[in-house]
Amino acid sequence: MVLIISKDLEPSTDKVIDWLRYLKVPFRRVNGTDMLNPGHAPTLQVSSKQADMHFNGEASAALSDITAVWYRRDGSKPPDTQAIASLQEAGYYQDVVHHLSQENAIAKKALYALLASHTRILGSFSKSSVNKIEVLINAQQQGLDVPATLITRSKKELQAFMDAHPIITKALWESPGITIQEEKATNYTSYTEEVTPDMLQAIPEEFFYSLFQEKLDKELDLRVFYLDGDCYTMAIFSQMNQQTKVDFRKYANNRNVPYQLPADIEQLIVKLMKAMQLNTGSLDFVKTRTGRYVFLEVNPVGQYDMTSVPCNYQLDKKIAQYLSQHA
Amino acid sequence: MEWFRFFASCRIVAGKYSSAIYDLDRSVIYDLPNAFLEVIREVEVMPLEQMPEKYGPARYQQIKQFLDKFVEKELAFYTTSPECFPDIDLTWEKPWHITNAVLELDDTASYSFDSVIKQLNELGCQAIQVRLGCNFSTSQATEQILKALASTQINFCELMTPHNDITAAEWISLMDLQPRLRRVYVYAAPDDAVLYNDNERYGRKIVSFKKDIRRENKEKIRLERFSPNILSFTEAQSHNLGLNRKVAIDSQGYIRNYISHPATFGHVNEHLLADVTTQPAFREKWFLPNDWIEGCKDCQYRYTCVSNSDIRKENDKYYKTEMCTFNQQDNTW
Repeated sequence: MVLIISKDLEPSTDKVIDWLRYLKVPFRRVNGTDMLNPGHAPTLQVSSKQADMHFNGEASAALSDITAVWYRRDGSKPPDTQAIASLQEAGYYQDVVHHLSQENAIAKKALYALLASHTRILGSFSKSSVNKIEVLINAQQQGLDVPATLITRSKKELQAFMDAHPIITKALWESPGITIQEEKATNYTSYTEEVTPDMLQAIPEEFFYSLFQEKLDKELDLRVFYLDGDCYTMAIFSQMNQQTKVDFRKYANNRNVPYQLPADIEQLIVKLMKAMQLNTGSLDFVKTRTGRYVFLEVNPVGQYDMTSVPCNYQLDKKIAQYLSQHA
Repeated sequence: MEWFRFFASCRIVAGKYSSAIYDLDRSVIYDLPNAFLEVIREVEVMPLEQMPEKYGPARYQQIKQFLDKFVEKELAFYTTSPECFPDIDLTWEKPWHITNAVLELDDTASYSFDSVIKQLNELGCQAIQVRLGCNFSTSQATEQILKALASTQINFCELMTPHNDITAAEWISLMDLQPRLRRVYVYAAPDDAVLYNDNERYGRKIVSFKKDIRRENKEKIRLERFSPNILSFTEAQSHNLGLNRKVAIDSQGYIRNYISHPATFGHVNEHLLADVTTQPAFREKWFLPNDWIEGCKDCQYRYTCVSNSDIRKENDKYYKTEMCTFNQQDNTW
C-alpha cells in the first residue's frame, strides 16, 4: 500500500491518486489535519522487540502494509483546544497550548522517523522547506553557478554590492506573504523585486537582515522537476513580457516549452540533490544571455503541474509509477 | 549561429488546401496559406546566416521579414542553441476509463440515474452533460440530479433544460448549492442569450438558445468552437476527439457512443457500464482519429475538431456520417 501524506485541496495529490487507482495500486491518503483527529490518528508502539505503528479509522493501515510513502505536503493546524477551553482566562493558557502543539509535533516526527526507517519515501519529511542560503552554499560547493549573493544589515555593504552589478531582493524564507486588514483584507505576496538607486537612497544606514543578489541578464527562466535522478526541464520565456522580466510568477501567459539541459548541468543537479538527500523537488535556474546556467533555489514540495502540463511530461503518472514500483 | 524555431506549443498543422498554426498555450488558431509551408520547413533546418546564400539577398530580406512577423507575434523565436529545445512528446495518456458522459433524462424513470453516476465515478468520469427532455423543478433537479454528484470525482456538470419559468437567479442558487454544476443551457428558448457568465467562479455560465435539441440533436461544427490546447491536441493525434472515452445514455436507458449514433450497446439497467465500455466494439471509434477519416484527414482543423459524428467504414475507408460545412478548398464555412 502506498501511503500519501498531504493536505486538503492539493490538486497534484488528487491527480497522482487518479493514476494509482487507474494502475490498481492500493493507497491511503492521510492529510496533515487527519493526524490530529483521534478517529484517524496513528498509534505508535515501541518495545524491546519491535517498533510499530498503525493508522486508525475506517481505512486503517499497519506499518507492514505500507510499501512506499509519498510525502507531498503536510498541512497542519493548531491543536484542538476544546478540552482546555475552561482555562482560557488563565495566565498559563498559552503555555498549555504551546505544550500541546509540541506534543503533537513530536508524535508526528516520531511517526515520520519510523516510516522512514521501514519504507521508501518519496519526498522528505524534514526538508519540506529548506534554507535557501544553505542550499545556495551547497550548490556552490557541488560546482553549480550561483548568483552573487549578499545578506547584510548594512547600507554601506549594500552600496558596494550594488556598485558591482544591478541587484534584486527577495525574502530569505518561503514567505507566504502578509495579509493586511484594512477596509478589506489584502494579501501581499512576496515576489522578487529589483532594487533601484532611488530605493537604495531611501534605505536607512542599518536595516533588518535582507537578501540581495546580482540581477541576472536573463535569457530564460528554467524550472526543473527532479524525480529520482531524472530532470524534467521547462524553459519559460519570461523576457517577452515586461511584467515577468524579474519574476516570472507575475504573469501566466509566458511561453513554456520543454528544455534539454546540458548533460553536465544535469549531473550537477543529481549531485546536489543527493548531497541534500532529496529524491524529488523543483529547482529554479536562470539561463543568462552569456550562456551561464545559474542555480537559484530548490523547493522540495514545489508545484510541478505548471511544468508537467505544457511539456506533456506526465509527471503525475511518473510519480504514481515510482510509488507503485515499491508497492 | 542563429536559428529560427517555432515554440513547441505553436504547431503547424498542414492541410491539403490550407494550413493552420495552433497556439496551444493561448488557444488561438492562425491561418497559414500552404504557399508558405515549404519555406518554413526549409528555414527550420538551416541557420539564418546560410539563408542569404541559398535565397539571394533580396529573397532573404523578404523571408527574414516574414520570420520576424512570427517572432513579433510570439509564435517563434531565434536561438543559438536549437538543440536545447526538443519537441513535445505527443503521447496522450489519462488515468480515467471514461472522461465524459452525456445523459439524457426524462421523467419516465427509464433508468437509475444514481446508479449510473456511481458507475461513472468508479470509471473515473470527470464531466457529465445532463440533457433534460422535460421540465424539472429546481427541487427535482436538486433531489434527482445534483445530490447524486456529491462525494463523486465528477467535477463538471452541465445541464440542458427546456425553457421554463426557472429564473437565472434560481439556477445560480443551485450552482451555489452544488458547485459541480457549472453550466446551464436553456434550449427551445425565445432568444439566444448569455444570461450569466462568471469566469471567476469555476467558469459558471447560463446560456439560452432557440434550437430545440429534442428535435435536432446533431451538433454544428463552427470555427469558434475550436479551442486548441495541449491536452486535446495530444489526444487528437491518436484518438477521435469527439468520441474518445465518452459514453452516452439516451432517455430510454440505452448505452451509446454518442446520443445521435444509431448503434446501441445494451440497456444500462441490464449491463454494467464497466463491462460495456471495455468491449472492443464500444471502443472502436475512440481510436479513429481524424487522420484516418476521409475528408477530415486533409483538414487543417483535424486536431482540434470536436465533431461527435458517427463513423462508417466503406471499402476499408472511414467516413463521418455527418460532415461539417467547412469547404476546405475555398477555406469557407
